[in-house]
Amino acid sequence: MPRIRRYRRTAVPSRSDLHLLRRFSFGYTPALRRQAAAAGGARAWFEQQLTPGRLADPAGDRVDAWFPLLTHAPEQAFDAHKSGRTHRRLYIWSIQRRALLRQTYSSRQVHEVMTDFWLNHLHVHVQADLAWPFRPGYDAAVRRHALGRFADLLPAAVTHPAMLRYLDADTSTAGSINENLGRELLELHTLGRDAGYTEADVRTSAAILTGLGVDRDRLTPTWTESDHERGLFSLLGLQLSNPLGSGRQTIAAYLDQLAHHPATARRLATKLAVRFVADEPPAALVDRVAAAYLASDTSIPATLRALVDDPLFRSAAQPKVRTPNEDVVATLRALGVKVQAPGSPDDGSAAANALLWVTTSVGQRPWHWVTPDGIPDRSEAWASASRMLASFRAHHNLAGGFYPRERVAYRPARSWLPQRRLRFDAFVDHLCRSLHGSPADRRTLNAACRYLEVEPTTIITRSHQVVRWRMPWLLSLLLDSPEHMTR
Amino acid sequence: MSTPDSAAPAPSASSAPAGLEGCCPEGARLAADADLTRRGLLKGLGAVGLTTMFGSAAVTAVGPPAYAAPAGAARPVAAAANGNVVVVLSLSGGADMLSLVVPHGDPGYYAARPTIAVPRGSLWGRDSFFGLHPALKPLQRWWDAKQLAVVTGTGQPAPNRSHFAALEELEDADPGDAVRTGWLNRSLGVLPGDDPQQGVHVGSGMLPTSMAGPTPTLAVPELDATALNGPSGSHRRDRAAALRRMWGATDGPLGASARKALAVAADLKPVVGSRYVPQNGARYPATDLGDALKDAARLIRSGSGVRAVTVDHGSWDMHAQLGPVDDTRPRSMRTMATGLADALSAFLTDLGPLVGSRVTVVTVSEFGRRVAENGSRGLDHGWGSAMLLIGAGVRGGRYVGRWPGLGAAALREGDLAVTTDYRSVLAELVTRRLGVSSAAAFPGFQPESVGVVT
Repeated sequence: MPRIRRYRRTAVPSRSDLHLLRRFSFGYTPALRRQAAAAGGARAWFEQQLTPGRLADPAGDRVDAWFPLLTHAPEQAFDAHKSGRTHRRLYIWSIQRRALLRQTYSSRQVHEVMTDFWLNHLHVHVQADLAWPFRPGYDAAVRRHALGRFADLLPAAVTHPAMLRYLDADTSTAGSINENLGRELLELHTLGRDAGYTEADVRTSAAILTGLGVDRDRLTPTWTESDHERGLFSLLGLQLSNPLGSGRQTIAAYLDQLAHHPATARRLATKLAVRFVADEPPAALVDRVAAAYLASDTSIPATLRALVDDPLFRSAAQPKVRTPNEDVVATLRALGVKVQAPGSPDDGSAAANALLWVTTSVGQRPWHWVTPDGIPDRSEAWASASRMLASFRAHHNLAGGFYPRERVAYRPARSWLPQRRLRFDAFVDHLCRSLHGSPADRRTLNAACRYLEVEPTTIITRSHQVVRWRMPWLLSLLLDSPEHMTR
Repeated sequence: MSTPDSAAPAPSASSAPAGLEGCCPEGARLAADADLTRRGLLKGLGAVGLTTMFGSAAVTAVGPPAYAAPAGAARPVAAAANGNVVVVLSLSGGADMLSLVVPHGDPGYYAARPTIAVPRGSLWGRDSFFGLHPALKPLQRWWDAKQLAVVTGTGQPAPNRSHFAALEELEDADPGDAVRTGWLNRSLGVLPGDDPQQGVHVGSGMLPTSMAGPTPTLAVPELDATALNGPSGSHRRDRAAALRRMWGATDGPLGASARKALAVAADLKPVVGSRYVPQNGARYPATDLGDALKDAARLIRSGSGVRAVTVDHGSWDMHAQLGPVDDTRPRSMRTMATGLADALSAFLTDLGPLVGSRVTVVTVSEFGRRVAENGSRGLDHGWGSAMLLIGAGVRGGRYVGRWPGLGAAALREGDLAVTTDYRSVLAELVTRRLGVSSAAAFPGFQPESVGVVT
């Protein structure tokens, strides 16, 4: 029997580095580890990531070029739909597909994570009647401010035609108030329901926002001073006067004060902590993050620094269940699947497009959440029997390259072998380190032995049946794991 | 849209070189639980040293196992009191029920629709006032058997003409409550048992709001998707065994749901693993709706303990392409109604006597459509609608409800008014058929007696 070269354990990040990388990316990859190592560690990588403009992102740029429909102005998109040239669903699907692919391939992972976070916080349903032509512009506006100041992000989102239409503010006028956006602005976007505002405050909130609208023909934002309610507004200790001719300034001042309100700080800090720390985050951490937010004039990077540098960021961390979308994206990343340009938006079998059918089968499509609160970020929301069964199916289909099959390249099975010959236990360890960034444990090895019907000591080579026939089983099993299904 | 989920099979074990089958000693032991039942699964989990994954209360609440019979012989088990099943068919997009249930006796109907009205002479099931669209003729058997009824003038208490907001409200059906919980989820919540397969949405992996909430339910693109895919043939069970090792000791909601998923896959394995042959000569059309209803019938016949099935069928959003009664273009009313009736009649034929005894179908739609046709020979979003009820307990062969009228004074902003809150119909259905109180399904709502379900 030929001698086996000793298995040199595949490099993984330190546990604390791995934790930061997993929480602030769409999934571990060996390339991510190298990126972090080149930066001088995960924390230094994180710092670089906070200024995405300075990071080259050829892969993300490539994805952008795959969805030409998203360069259409709202009017052009709406006309194309109305005339029957391009159905609106192709626009909507393009938005969703681009998001999933950017999350998969962009090297600006923290920017992608935070864009996703804010788009969910400032949720606009992707199919909302009348709002969809504005969705590409809305995404761009949120993306622009995702690592800026919340005081800039809030007005960019709340006064955007997509949001105005989604929550009926485009038809709310001084004579005829629609409270929808005024209420959600307080309840969801800023203060939170616990802040103690009254129904009268909700009405005032909606009244302040009157005057904003959308031109029905040209689909451009409008301002109609005569639709704006005038008066002296006061709510929750905010005082806003509204002299003639300055309705827009009133709105700007109102949103700025809301952004700087302690209740908003608390709500955002809690939400960030739920996303990045635990379903039930510790109050002390939330307090410190909220304080950093206020002290930094609503700077998102400063707030995030306070979060990741807090000792509780790691010590109080609990597993966070990946949403179905995150699971699919993380699976593509872990497996190194190379999705190619889709050709036409009509080609539903091209991988870049078919990806949306994969996430649909697992139970989620981006921004397809019907209510304005955005998707929940608690583990039990994404832990159901059908979700697990569907995730298991998706893992198998992607691990084996069974679906999607067109315009996509999967890694050949033998490329997973780190050396010509090694024991099965070492092979499983190598795969866990590559897919999860952490070594294999006994439980995983046991499960793999059971499934692959081999012993830990079995010698694996490229001609062994494990590599020749059963890599899809092995890879999917390692993806069907608590390590992969949490972030 | 379809969600292709099929995968080319992995190279089958038989094509693989003869290998090391069964060399893992522990594997050989666990391979003994070949046909996994829920019980078998619990035992298997116990075998790997787990005692706390199901609280004892949860275990007893599971009720009799759906498949007590060995080796795949699916046999009906009354999971709860009566084994009745409610099937909710959502005509999404806002169906124009005035085309399906035509008020030919109301002069306002023909006046409002110069090009798309369904002529009186083409209707069937006709009384002096109403008649049914000719494309629904395949359902006549059940009308004649007095198992098919129509409630007219149904809808939400207030108009809501936005598709997605209306649909959300329709399915949540508890307007005062901020929690997203559907009326079916609440209904299932008060029934015994907590198997996810008690409530199944067929046709998509995304739960409709009616089924969403704290009570476990399933959403599957197709019933076969409840099976673990993977190695073919005799190796298939090994994935379950491997996954039990992977998840057996994992805490938290993810671990619990993984174990539940394995239990569902095991419970439904006899259904999914066998080829389904529709009964009574039923022939399902090769459409999404046909596939979904075939899966629904398969599930109901299997005795898997299902109490509620939801199926979405759309799109009925006919702003422009509704067309006259003989218009057979792909998205016309005639085509859509034909697709609905063909699939539904196949389903009812397949279920045979169960339609009279255990299974009740109801249609819902988020809103009705404008009474007057628009400039594109279509119909814009409206309000009042109608509901079809077919099957067990339905007092059929008749039109139920107070007709609001189509005169100018009777319309609400051009729309048919609502005289029966749709929740009254659904409340009657879940109360009479599932034994669920209206208060549980529709908290705070005072239903009226509709008299359509006994």
